[in-house]
Amino acid sequence: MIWSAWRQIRLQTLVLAIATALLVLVFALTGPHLNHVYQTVVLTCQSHNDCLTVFSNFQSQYHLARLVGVLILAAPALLGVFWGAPLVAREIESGTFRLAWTQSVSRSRWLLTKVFMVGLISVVITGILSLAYTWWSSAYSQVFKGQFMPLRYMTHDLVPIGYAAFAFALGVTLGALIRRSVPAMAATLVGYVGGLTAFTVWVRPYLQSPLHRSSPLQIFSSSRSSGPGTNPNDWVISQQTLNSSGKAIGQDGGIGSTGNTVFAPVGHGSPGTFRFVGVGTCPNKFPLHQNGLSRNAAPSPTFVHAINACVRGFHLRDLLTYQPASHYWTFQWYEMSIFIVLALALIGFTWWWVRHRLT
Amino acid sequence: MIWLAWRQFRVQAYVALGLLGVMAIAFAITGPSIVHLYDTAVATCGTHGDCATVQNSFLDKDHFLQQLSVVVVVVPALLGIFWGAPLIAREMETGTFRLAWTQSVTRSRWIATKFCLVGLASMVTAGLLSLMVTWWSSPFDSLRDVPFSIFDHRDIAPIGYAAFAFALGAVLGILIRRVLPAMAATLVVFIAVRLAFTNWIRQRFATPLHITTPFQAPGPGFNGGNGLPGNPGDWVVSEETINSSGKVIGRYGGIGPNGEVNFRGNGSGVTYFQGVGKCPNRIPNPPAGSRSTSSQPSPAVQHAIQKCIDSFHLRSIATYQPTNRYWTFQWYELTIFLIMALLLSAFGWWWVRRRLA
Repeated sequence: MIWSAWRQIRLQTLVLAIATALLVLVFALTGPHLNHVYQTVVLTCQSHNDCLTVFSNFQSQYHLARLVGVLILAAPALLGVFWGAPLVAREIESGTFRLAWTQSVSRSRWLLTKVFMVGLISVVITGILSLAYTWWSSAYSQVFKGQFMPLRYMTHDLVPIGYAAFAFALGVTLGALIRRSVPAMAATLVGYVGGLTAFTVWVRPYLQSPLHRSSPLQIFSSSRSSGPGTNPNDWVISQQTLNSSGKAIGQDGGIGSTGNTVFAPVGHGSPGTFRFVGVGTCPNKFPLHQNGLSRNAAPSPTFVHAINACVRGFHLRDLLTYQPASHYWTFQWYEMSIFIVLALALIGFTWWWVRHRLT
Repeated sequence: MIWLAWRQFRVQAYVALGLLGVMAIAFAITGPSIVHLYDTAVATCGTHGDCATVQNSFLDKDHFLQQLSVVVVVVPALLGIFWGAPLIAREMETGTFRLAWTQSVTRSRWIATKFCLVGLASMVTAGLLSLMVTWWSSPFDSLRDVPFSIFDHRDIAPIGYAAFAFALGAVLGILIRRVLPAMAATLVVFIAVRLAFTNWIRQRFATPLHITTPFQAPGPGFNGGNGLPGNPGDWVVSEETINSSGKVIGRYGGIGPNGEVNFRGNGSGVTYFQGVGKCPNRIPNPPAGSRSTSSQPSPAVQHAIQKCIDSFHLRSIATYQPTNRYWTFQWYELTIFLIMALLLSAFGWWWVRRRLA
């Protein structure tokens, strides 16, 4: 049985193995050079005062990296679509299941052998690609922060392995349910992309309970991820402005949905009285020589002083919800485990379906 | 025949129509508020003096939907794989072509009808999708102003990609005669052709312009940005540094293949401009090995470095396509891909008539 399963897949495996080997070879040939550039040019840019130029040049050398990142993101989907979906569907569609499932090998053993052999090959190929890519782009990752950025997070380290297992199992399951190759392939693609997107938007931010940091709202400081102790690799999930009763009245270090802070004079009757738009009337008086003000308009020091006094008067707080960089590996392990468990559950369901429900 | 072709195709057409509808609804809900926000906040930011903040928070808006413009790149490939490749290959694989091609409708008419119907449907799908994305993203695009970096997922080029991908899939299906291998081959060839156009061919549609400027030291404290053309929307194809005899000695606006600009002193003021030569003048406090990490070099050092650079008479040559060629390039790209699609279709038609058993 193992021999028969291998016979059916060896050509495709060979093609993929060669493609993977070529890519790894490209990594192995270019990686040391990039690392050398990093060691000699990037690390010393501070002493030459040309960090900005060096960074942008360094980035342009990695224009291939984005392409390879997309490839690694796509590899699980392609394996699920081209290997997973036709695995059972093609046998049913072409009628060969009648022969295959009436041999001395029971249909459940037939299924499990094929699933584990092909699935394992998919997972191993994706794993090799992901680890090689992680190694190759390590210098880049040190220069450009943001390890939780989706395209970075989802192509590095462990999670691609989980994705490969999940996409493959999803393809097998949908193939057994739909029984026709091409529709099953399309459904696998849609299901995988939809599932991964939903996970990224709704599940991943809460894999571990995020940390909160609350500080008094400050107008004259750049908002995001610049507070004390914020690591550029932290993942800021939300930044809300709370009023004194704890209700959210704004975001991104400002008021309202746009995150702007606007101070406007109340009117002609009371010179020097300003309104903090969206919050209330300031208790203190403002200097008179300026009419209105938005953030970043380089106001006079007395004006800044008055605004800060006004903001303090409302006891607004800036609540940062974030995942610290130290959660990275926990996240990788959790996410990989979740997708592998999902894959096993799908395989279990397919096994039951093929045994009891199919034909 | 048209009725039969439509019957065989209608489920796929409904699926595509449904997905387009979902996207249209999402865009119709969010689009007007984006235009409104752009008109009220971004367009008027100059009078409030808060452009940096407003623009950044505007560009962060609807981040997820902005990423969705990737589908315009992906959809032509999917159309080629799922509509093109199985079109004929499935008939052959399952043997139904024996019945289909021996009816009163000749096989050449049969294949021409199918090609026209499904091919046109592919182009309409990609065209509508691109139209929606282009409309929805126009406030973001006009703010970012980098038309050539979003060239292949806006405006009319995706129509050509869809036609080409479909014809490629159908012809590979005819040649390979099996659905799955044909789908895989379509994907690989389509990606290869698209990459070739993006990286090598498109920049040669028209002779690029050149602009030559004296080489300047990059980085803070210096004027920065060598010979770049004035318009940020221009497509800079390459930026090379040449020495006084006209030889190319650097890329990326610097010296050497990595675009570095390094000075190395021996401590006594004698300084080497790496990759170029020894500076004729002395540079006080050579920047290499200087202790201060944050501050920019002192004016005296900047002046001395610029003087050293000037003495070598280096020049920067920027090769670029100006932003006003955008629509010419869009039409070129559309036309080329449509012609390739027509040639492929004609080949497929001929092959089915003359060669296929």
